[in-house]
Amino acid sequence: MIWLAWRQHRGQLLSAAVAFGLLAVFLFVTGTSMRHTSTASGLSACLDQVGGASMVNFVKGEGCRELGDAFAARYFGLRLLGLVLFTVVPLLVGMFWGAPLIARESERGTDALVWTQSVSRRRWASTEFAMVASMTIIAVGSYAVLVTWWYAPLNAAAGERFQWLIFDQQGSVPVGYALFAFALGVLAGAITGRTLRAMAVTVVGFLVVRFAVAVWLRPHYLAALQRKYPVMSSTEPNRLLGDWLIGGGGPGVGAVYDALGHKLKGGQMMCPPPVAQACIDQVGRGAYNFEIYQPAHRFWAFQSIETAIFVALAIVLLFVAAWWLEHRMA
Amino acid sequence: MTLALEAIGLGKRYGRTWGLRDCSLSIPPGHVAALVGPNGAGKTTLLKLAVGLLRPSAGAIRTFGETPRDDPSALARIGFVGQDTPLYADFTVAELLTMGEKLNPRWDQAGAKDRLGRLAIPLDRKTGRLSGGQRAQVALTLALAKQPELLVLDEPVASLDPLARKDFLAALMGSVAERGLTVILSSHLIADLEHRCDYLIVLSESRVQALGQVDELLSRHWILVGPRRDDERVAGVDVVVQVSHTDRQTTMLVRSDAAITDPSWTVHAVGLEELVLAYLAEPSAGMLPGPRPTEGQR
Amino acid sequence: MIEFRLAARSNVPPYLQLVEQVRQALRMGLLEAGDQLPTVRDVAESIAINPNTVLKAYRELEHEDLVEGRPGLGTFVIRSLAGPSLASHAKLRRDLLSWLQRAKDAGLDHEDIVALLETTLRSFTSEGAA
Repeated sequence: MIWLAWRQHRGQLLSAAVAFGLLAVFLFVTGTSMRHTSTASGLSACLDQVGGASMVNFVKGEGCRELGDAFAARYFGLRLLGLVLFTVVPLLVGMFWGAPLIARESERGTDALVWTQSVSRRRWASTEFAMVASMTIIAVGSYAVLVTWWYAPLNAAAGERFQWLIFDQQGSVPVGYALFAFALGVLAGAITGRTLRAMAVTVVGFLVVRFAVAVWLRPHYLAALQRKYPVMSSTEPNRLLGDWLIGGGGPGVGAVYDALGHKLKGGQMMCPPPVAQACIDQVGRGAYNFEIYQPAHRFWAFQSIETAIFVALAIVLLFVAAWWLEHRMA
Repeated sequence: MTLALEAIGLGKRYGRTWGLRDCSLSIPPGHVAALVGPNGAGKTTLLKLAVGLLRPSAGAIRTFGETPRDDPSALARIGFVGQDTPLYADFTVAELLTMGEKLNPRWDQAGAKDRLGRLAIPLDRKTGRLSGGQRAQVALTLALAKQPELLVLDEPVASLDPLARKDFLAALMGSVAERGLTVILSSHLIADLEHRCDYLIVLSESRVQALGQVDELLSRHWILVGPRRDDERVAGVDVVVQVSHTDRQTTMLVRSDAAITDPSWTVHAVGLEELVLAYLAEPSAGMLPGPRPTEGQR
Repeated sequence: MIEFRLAARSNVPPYLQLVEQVRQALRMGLLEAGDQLPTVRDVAESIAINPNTVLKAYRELEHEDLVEGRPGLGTFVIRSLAGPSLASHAKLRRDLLSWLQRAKDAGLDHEDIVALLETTLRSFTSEGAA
């Protein structure tokens, strides 16, 4: 059975290897170039100097904001490409490897050939699922390692590693997403018996679940922290550290409160000394900024939790698919 | 003696419609059984149920006393060639043989290669590039290499040209002779089945209409030709299967276990094709007792 | 070795056709005592018929003491049906030729001769049986 599963899917692994090879060349070239620029522009040195300081004097230019912004602006195109490309890769891999797994056997009639050999559907399913899931882990895992390496300078320059969509491109979550898409594809293929239909269902299901998890679950993996810092000050949180600003005044933005604790407006407000009279009139002394956030050092914890969620979903879906195959199909 | 195939009240429903209903039959081992019936009568459904590709909605089906669905030991005793002889198009013939070897406990690799060699089918060619006749032979070889005790074939020769058809059936008969196989095959072409099958199952409107050994069926049915009359009762006749009249003459196909002594009738023997066609044309005529209100009243 | 064929659309059951073809071959001297008949498998495969039919034919021939099945070896002819010696055959043939010439001279065509032969043979056989 292992022979059969390998023979049927070895082409997919080969295609993935070729695609990975091409991508690796591109990422290696651009990644090295970015690292070089980072060093040459002084950004790396600046970041090293700042270290892990959580509050920085923005007036003095601490926090490397300008260098960071310049770097990010320079590689805007690449960032955009990454955003689009790397969002779809796990979905595509999972979908193209999962949807046809069972559906194609039904469509081509080869189910009549293979399930009349002396093998139970359960054994067929467990071997096929395991084979392609392993390929997915290997292929997308290698890809994730490479992409995470590639993103490092961009992360450092913009401090956005923890942000929605950026978080989803790198680390270990692409593997979780790909396994989930694969499992969803397999189940959709088992139920619909049609590859294209299964792919459509996979895309929709994938987007819905990913959205739901990222927007409603992710902020709560660990209890979020809160911080307050005065408006009339010249220190603010070090944005380049990579904290995830969840809210406080709206999605992704904090809020400004007066000294008595009434919310004045959403967003952030800083009035560095010497404080202008207009500022005092507007918010009053003692006003503070309020943010709910996840600290940057929790990035990998969150990656692990989200990966685990999607891997667990994938396992459940695969069990359901195997059950469907055995008991409900035909 | 374990029956090669046994169905008890077998039924299969697709949504609201029954593809097969109240099917009860038993085929002893060592026979070549023909399954005939019009399109949509349930032949493919019955055959797929027999090899575990479909789950029964009602009743049970057993091969050699075992249930074929998802049971590797039962499946090892059955060989199946489906309609359109599906094969993995991008596998070479040799790779299909390897697949069979890996997935089946009793596999005759040498015999399979030998058979394909005799048929001049190249082992290193992808099956997608073989002709229809070659693919049918490959599919049959794969089924036979399992060394099954029951071979189930669904319209195996439907898409073959006459020469390929003859080769296929000849090879099948040779294998039956060699291995003592039980075969059940469905076909539109009843003439193909004559001389090859010794057991007959007629399916009509998702039910079994007629069933039995060919010799016995042919010896129990007669064509009666005589002067025109409307009274269909004849001494010695159990059931009138089919009647046709011209202005002068009445022809009847009847079933009778006793001799027909009425001298006004000329009695002829019936051929297999004639018999099957008559039953298919008269769906309410049946060989079996059961939920068939017109049985015995004609 | 003998090669069988089945007549399409014949009322004669297939196994009897095979039996008759063996008898015919024996009569014509194409098969002699000691010759082997093709295996059941070879016959089934070459003319694509049910092996049980072949078995039935061979059993019938065995019953008539014309052949004998030897386990593991095959089915062998044990008796020939060739009638009297070639010499008397030759004489009969000469007589027949001269009669045919006379029939032709009398104006009978091919079908007339065959019809005359069949009816005479029939009445000769039934008279002989009586």
